[in-house]
Amino acid sequence: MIAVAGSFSSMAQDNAISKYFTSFSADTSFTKVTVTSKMFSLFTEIEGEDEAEKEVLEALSKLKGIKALINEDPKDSKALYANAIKSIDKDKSYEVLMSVEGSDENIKFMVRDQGSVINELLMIVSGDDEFLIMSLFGEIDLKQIAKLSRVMKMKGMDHLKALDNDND
Amino acid sequence: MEWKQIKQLSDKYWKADTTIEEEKQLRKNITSSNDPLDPQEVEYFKTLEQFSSVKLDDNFDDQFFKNIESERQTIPFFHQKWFQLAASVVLLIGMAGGFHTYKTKQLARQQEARAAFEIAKSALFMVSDKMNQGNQYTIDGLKKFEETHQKIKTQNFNN
Repeated sequence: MIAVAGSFSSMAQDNAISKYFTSFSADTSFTKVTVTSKMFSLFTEIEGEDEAEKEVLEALSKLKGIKALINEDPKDSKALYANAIKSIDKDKSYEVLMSVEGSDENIKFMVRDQGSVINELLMIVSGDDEFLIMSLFGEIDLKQIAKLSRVMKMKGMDHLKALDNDND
Repeated sequence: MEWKQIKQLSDKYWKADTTIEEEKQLRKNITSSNDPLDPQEVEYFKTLEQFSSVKLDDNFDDQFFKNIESERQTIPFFHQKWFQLAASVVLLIGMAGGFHTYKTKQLARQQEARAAFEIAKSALFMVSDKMNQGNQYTIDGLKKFEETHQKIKTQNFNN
């Protein structure tokens, strides 16, 4: 049983998104970002410099890796988006978490879970001047990730406050 | 000393009754002409006299201690101060070198980790930002829905 489960999880790694990523490996118009689990293990040596970084470290501590494909000047962003969704839909293990279809930007969040734990969060963004697909895998805490940008914005407001004080 | 006296002392000696003084007299006065003493006996006492006259040189002590001193100086090299000092210097250099290498490696690793962390950080922020953007759309959508719903309700009410 364990052997079957083991092979199943290793198969899960070789899923639609991995195939999708490899299909673009030779395309130089895409920037590929990969942060491996080895790198994540090194994050324990980093000390967060501020509140936002500490939150990030906390969120990262449960992750195993990040993969991203970024194109900052896509020829046909909408086609790339549709193609990506189609590839991922072939893999039945992904569910749509959130989808925003706007006139100038499309965003889709998809998740793959095992029981109550989300193992992978997939974000696909297409806009006029960008196309990006990003996969976070490991143990995903959606609330924690959503919280990060608020922490970041508060940090930004702190900077503004500092500016105000300087002007006084 | 008469040979008779010597003979007496000799007899007394072999019975182990002589005093130290008498023994001395016997040793000093015995000669080979002292018949009827056994020549072997004469030889024995003469030898004794020879041994007892052997004296240490005046500078024996000096010589003795000098020898000890020189022996002391040939203690094994690894017990000597210069060697211990050299060893500790080598050890210190080794430790400092090892520590330096360790620190350099650690620093390189930390820099590498920092660079990867910056990437991971901006990736997470982007996901977080888009997620909140999505949430905002949803909230706005809900608000619009609510507003429309309210409008419809009030319109219905008015009608």
